[in-house]
Amino acid sequence: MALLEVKDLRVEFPSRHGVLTALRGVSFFLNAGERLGIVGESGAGKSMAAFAILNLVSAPGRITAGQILFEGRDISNFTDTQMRAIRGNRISMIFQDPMMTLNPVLTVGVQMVEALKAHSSISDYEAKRISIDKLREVAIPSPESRFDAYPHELSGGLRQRVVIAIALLTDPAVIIADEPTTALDVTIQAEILALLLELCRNHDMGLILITHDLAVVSQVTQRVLVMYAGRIVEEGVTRTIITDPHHPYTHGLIAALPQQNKPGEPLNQIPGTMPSLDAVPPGCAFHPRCEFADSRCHEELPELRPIDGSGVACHHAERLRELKQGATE
Amino acid sequence: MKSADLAAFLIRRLGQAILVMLVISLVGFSIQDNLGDPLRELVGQSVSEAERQALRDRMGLNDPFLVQYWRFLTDAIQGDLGTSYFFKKPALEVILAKFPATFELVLAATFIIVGVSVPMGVYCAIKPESFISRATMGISIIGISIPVFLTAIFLIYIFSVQLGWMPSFGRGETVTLPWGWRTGFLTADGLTHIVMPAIALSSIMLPLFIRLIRGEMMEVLRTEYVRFAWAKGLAPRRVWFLHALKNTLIPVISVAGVQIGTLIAYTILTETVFQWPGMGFLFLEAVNRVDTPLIIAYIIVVGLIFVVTNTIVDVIYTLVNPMVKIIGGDA
Amino acid sequence: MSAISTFLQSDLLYRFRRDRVAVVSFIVLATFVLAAVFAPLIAPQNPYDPMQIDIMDSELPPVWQEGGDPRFVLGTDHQGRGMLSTILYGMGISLVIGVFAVLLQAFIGVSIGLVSGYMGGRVDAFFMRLADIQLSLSTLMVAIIALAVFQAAFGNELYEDLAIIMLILVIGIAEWPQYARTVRASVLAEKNKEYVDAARVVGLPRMRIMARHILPNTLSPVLVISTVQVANAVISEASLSFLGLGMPVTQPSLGSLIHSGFEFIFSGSWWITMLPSIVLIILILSINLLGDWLRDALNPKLYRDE
Repeated sequence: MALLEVKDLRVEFPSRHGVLTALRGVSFFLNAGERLGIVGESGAGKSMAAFAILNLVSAPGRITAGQILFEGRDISNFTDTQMRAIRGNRISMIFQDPMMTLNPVLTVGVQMVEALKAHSSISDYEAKRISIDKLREVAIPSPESRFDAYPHELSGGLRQRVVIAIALLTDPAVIIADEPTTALDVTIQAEILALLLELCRNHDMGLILITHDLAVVSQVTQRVLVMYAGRIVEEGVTRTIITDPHHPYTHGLIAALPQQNKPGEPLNQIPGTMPSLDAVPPGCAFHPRCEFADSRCHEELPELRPIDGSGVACHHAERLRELKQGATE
Repeated sequence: MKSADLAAFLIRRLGQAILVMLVISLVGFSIQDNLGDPLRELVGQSVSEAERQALRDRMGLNDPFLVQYWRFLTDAIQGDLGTSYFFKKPALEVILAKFPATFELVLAATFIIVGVSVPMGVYCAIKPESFISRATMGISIIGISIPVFLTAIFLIYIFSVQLGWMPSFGRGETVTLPWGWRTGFLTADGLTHIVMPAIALSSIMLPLFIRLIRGEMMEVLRTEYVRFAWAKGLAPRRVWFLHALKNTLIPVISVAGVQIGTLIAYTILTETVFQWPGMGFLFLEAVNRVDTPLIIAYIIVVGLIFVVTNTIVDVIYTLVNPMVKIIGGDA
Repeated sequence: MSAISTFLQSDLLYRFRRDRVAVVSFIVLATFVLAAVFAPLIAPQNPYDPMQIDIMDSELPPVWQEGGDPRFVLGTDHQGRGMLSTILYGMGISLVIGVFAVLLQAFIGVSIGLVSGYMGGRVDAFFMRLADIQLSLSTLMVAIIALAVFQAAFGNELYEDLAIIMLILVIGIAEWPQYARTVRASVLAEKNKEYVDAARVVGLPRMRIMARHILPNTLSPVLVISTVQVANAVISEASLSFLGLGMPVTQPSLGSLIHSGFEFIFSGSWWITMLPSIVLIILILSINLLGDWLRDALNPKLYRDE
């Protein structure tokens, strides 16, 4: 049985323009110790999925349909008190910008100890000891002095390590990392990703890594979901998705990577932009930007179906496959 | 922060404070120089011009400006701010006698302001859609629109004139403490007398701070670090009253510092309506009587209070806000 | 005509009409302003013409109370002047001082803000330091001291003649930092935008760039704080007059009326102080409500839904 299973999740926002749907029936699963990536452009709904799992969707948005099964129980209906036992305890989350994630007026130590004491009745002394150990584990030099530091006294990379350490304190079953490296320098990014990978392996921890950066996903995750306009359009083993994508959008994303170009060639941008929540096209949301689109794509919402081991939500996935095979021959 | 940094900061602030006091004293002295004629108060009309000049010489009134100013300063530091024309007593002594009354009034008003605005502001931020929140915000805009003296007049009219419940003027019975401080807090009569003036004095500050705290707190509640606190599974009380409130109150301390001067001005208004025997009421009477030494002495004393409280607020702010750099930067 | 029709169809007007509070406040305020402007025409009597007052008429209650006189709908004060007339004239004075003081503040503040923001560097640092210092001083306190000193120096008679100018000057000069800060913030935001670079490249002189291009974009925040500032100016003037440091009894604003009427609430003639008080409160309240609406209407609504 999967550790975490999301079924047909819908998240909606009432607004001046009517009801906006941020997640339109998303389903996926995560096994224990597995590392899953969720990629997509901004606005695709990836962070929304993460927040929904922990029931942290900000009002007035709310989960309107679907189930979230964690260790066999449906937590989408949990009360706040029940959720609190899970948040920061069994499922931890880290956010994008470590400067904004840590409270500027509280020391690192305070923010670590409280995470422990919220979920177990241990002494201050014990909590401090565990916290310093964790700081050491994420490779923070002189953890004792860092314990008493304020967030602004640390560099960006160190801060993100602190945030990761906080997430690890309670030995959670799953860590959800929402764009953990986007706000960091490129050199630090690699270090943080390597750290995450190592920690997940050492602690047999599940990881859901949310990012818009395919390169990040390829380094760390075993499986990946590609999201577009609130739905999953492709899913499968990371290496396969990246080397052999089946959905036109995924294909476009990979082709758009600068590494794919020969010098002097123009970049292969996907024409158009992701639709905003109040202007989602009917049928397949990608069809206005897709070169294979026909009237069926305009009317009928494609469901995920298996193709060569990946799940693809496209009416013309076979055509794309044939084209690619033709191109390589 | 290290204590050496703190000491350096304090010394710098102290230097600034002294500088400001010098400026105030210069302003005060210049006013005194040009306002009223001390001679007129001392001698009658029938004194000859020659005798007047001689008197002026003897009193040092014909000396150059800087000499007179220096004399003024040295006198002031020793506590001599001139002699009140009306009371025929040292001006400083007259003012200080009224200080306890004003101080207790301000203290009572501050209790009300802090005790009401912090809980209300926090509550309105956490539950902005509730009936109480909306009602509070609605009432607060009315509160801001009623000047202090009108609140005072209305309170008197309703509770003293019409209902006869509360006294309308003075401090009531006071008790003199061993070191000379006359307090109204130790008698029931004194307490009933301070209630309405304190409410009037707090009436404009209260809506201001409620709105301020609510606004700041609502912004803080939207930050990533508060979201992270929720994601850690912390109890709501901790998130609201530690994570959020500490960040909320830091800018509020700044605002409070700036409002101190206004509060002192409002005490003049309140004391006038309630005939509260404090420094503000004294000042107004001195203005009406053109009692120059008393006017100047009041300006200097108020200036000193302003400088001292501002410095204290600055220091508190620096201690509370860990992001403030002490060396090389001003708070 | 096209500017008017643009306005009539604008989003702003639409939102205004939908907000009942704003509409009511506007009507009330407009009524007050018109009443004050036309006071000499509509007031039953000129309360400052000694020929028109009779001390025998003093302390008559409003017409709905026992003892009231239909000649004086709102009653009379202790000198026999009709309350309606004194309030109308007084409101006019309060408004004049409030508006002109704010015009002065705005003129000084916007100019300094523009120059400071655009020039940057030492000029900017100097003005902002000055503004900081001035902001930390309470306007009311400074006004009380300044006016007290002037009154003591000039003597009562001269002071009475100058009072209205003194009030406008003191309130006007004390509050320029609010405008300066606001405008400077806008200027700093606009300075880096492309159209300024374009204008500079074309060779337009600095003053022209500031006045013609940057200034219009700073008007929106200036408008928003202006309403609050007018309300504050009216409150300040009323407070000062109430203390006897503002408008004299011979040319009273609402504050002075309240001052002279205060002692009479103990002897039962409540209307002498209460009626001007109520008018003052409604005046300030309607300005504040309009200001609140204006602030919400001119700002992008990020989080709130209608």
